[in-house]
Amino acid sequence: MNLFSPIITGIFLGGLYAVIGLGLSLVFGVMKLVNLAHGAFVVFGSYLGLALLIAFGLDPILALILIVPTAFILGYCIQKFLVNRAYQLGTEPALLITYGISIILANLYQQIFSPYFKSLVTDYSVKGLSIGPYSVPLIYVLDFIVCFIAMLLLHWLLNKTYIGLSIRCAVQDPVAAKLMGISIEHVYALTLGISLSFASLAGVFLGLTFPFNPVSSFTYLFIAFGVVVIGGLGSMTGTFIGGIVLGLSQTLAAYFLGIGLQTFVGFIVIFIMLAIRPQGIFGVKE
Amino acid sequence: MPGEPLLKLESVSIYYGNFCAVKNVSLSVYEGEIVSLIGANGAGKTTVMNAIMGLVHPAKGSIIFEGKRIDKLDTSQIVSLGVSLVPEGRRIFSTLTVYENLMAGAYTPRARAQREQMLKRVYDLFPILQERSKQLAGTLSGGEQQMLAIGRALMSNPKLLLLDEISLGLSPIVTLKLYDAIRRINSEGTTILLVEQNVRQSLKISSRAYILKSGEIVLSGYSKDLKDEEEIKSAYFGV
Amino acid sequence: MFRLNAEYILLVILTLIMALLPVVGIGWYTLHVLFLFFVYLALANMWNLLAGYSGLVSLGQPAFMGIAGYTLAMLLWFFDTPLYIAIPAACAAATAFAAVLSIPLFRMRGFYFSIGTLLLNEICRVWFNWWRPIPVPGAPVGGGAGFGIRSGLSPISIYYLALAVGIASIILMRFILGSKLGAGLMAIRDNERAAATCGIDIFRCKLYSFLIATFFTGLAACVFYLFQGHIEPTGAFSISWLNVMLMAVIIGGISTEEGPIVGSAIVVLLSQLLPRYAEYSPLILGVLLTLIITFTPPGIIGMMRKTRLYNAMLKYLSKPIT
Ligand SMILES: Nc1ncnc2c1ncn2[C@@H]1O[C@H](COP(=O)(O)OP(=O)(O)O)[C@@H](O)[C@H]1O
Ligand SMILES: [Mg+2]
Repeated sequence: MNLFSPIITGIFLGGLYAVIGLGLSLVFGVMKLVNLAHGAFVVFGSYLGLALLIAFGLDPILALILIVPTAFILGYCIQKFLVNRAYQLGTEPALLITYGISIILANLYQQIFSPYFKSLVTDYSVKGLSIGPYSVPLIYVLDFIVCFIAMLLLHWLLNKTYIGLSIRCAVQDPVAAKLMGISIEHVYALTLGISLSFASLAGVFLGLTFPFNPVSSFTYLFIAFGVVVIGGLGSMTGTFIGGIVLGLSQTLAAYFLGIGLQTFVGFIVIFIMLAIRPQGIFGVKE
Repeated sequence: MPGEPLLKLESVSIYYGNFCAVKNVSLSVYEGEIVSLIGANGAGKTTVMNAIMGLVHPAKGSIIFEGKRIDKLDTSQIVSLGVSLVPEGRRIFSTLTVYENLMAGAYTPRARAQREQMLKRVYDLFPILQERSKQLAGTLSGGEQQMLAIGRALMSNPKLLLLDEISLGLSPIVTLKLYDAIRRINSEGTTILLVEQNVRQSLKISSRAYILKSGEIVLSGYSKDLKDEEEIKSAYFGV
Repeated sequence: MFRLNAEYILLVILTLIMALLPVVGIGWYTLHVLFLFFVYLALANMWNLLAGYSGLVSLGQPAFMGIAGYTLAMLLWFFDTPLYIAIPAACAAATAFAAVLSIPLFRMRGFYFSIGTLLLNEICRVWFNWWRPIPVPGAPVGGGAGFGIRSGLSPISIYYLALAVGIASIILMRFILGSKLGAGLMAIRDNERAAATCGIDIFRCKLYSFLIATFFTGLAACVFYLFQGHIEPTGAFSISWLNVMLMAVIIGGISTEEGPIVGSAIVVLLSQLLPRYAEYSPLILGVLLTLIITFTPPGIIGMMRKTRLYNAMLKYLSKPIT
């Protein structure tokens, strides 16, 4: 038995899953809203990367310079013009509107890029890296590095910038935040913008790692949600561990049960966690 | 009083649903003044303050600041114009540090540009805040929290500072200290409108006062003239 | 108490017209569109019962539809069960599945319930994609290929089944909303805590409504799969089913009895009558859904209810005939 490979890929993959979870967790933490379009936002990064690769031969990692700001603006506008309005009516309309957005995006992807699987292929996305006697795909190592960069970036953003300060104020006491001159709607829009930026970042690397199609929107939504549910909300360490647990459960399930049931096990883990501890392993009960 | 007032409320009425919390209130605050708004619990004082800040919007009447109507504006716009409120119950950000609370007070672009000076001014006024700058705001004592709330409101360098019952729940000694600070803030050029239930204290510090009862202004005038008015008592206690 | 009024007469007349259509030799295409309308109508009514009246924003109804469809397929494929047993058994299987799952699902609240139910679709899809009851390599049974469903019913009889299910779902909604269960649901929706203090068993009300909705959703699914003659996992557990329910209810008007009728008609029209744009229809519906939630949350019926004419019509229709 050689468990090294599934374990190491599981952990590396988990890092990337954590990045998907970060954005969802941020939006939930700030607005108490589950963004059902989160997976579609992840795939947005993959498809935009693909478009830039096909059209200009732009390397997907370089293209992040364009992809992340585009994602930010898109997120900002969606929140500002759609979700904020629905949010005033209550949480259910807001939830349903994010569902509507995910349908729109998934269908747009299908119209533009066909329903078939695509992937971001570059020379480094197929390279291997040897660790001792074993070989790991280089891209998995990159995924893991990206996870750390993303977590540091988000930490810095939340704790060291005025944007982060305004977000934390708005979470703690929206009325007091308003009295500071903070516009709550602006904060919410920024939050979705940031969430979408991280989602698209993860999307580019997922696209380099796995093939994707419009339906991947939903797969990634569940993964993001699973990460958050396992790791608990509002804790970056929790999100990281949630990602690892989910990544491992998938690669180990694939190893022991075969590829066919790989996602099944992941989903069952999420479902059980939802039922027994929706606040996550590390979360505190509200 | 010469010239235009800094803040003017003209027959303002405010409703919560069908309930009229403030009826036809008019008042003015001139530059450089300390004005107090006095009334019993539930008289509508906080509602007036919230209306000035744009947290609630009046159904009738207008609120004018520096000659400009502000009653339809958002709170953030009003703060940018130079109005700042120390809210009832302080509402500091308890899981943020003292320093971060103060920085939050300097959120508007205008304030951000001069936040170092303002921070120095606030630390000068309340040295204890500098000592505790790295501490979480929730760990401060009640008096220190109130100082933080005032300091935070000052960080935007407001032209008009609104204070809502800053002495609530504090000891007389701490209250005196706070009032000294208010005088200093005023002498450095900030106009102040303060809300109190404590009649004596507020009449002592203010030049003029308005007495609010069940949402209506029943009495107003120079504080020194109001001091021994019987009417104040009746307005206040409803005898 | 049942009171005859113009509404019921209208319903009976319309049902009769619909029933006569195949007899007078209407085109197959129109019949197909009407068939879909009745299936969608039943689905939408049941989703309205859940999301509009019971506070259960279930995004997992496709899973229950698929379970009903698969049970039907199994019974017909392996056991040649007669339809009058197979269909109720399929609905019962979906309901039993829902009953078992209600234990974990009802522990999830609000968002968590929605996500948990949404997850069910994926779990089922992945499972049925993998599952082959007879492990014969290369046999086109189970797995991604799915099963054939041979009922021997003529398309016209299936049309009548759909008509019956669609109309029955309207009557069922009227019946539930007028029953004790409906009163309980209404009280819970208005104020959950107050309802609890009045002695309303919130859990039981929601559970009943969940099970009833699942049974009927399963029934609609059976009718659909009888028509389609085939079931496979990607289509069966596809969220396009969810889109149908959600859009019909929200576009028509959530928490109203007429909303799903109008909404289903619009969804069918958009997806079937514009074949040239068929591939864009989910996109159009998605945009419509988003716009309606943003700008006119009560949907079309909600808007019409603000007009005097519509209210007058409603009043006239619901006046008891003596
Ligand atoms: N958000 C609210 N909703 C409904 N009624 C309110 C609200 N806030 C205050 N009130 C009512 O308005 C009146 C004035 O309240 P307030 O302005 O807080 O008085 P004060 O600050 O003088 O104690 C009170 O009767 C209070 O019950
Ligand atoms: Mg008050």
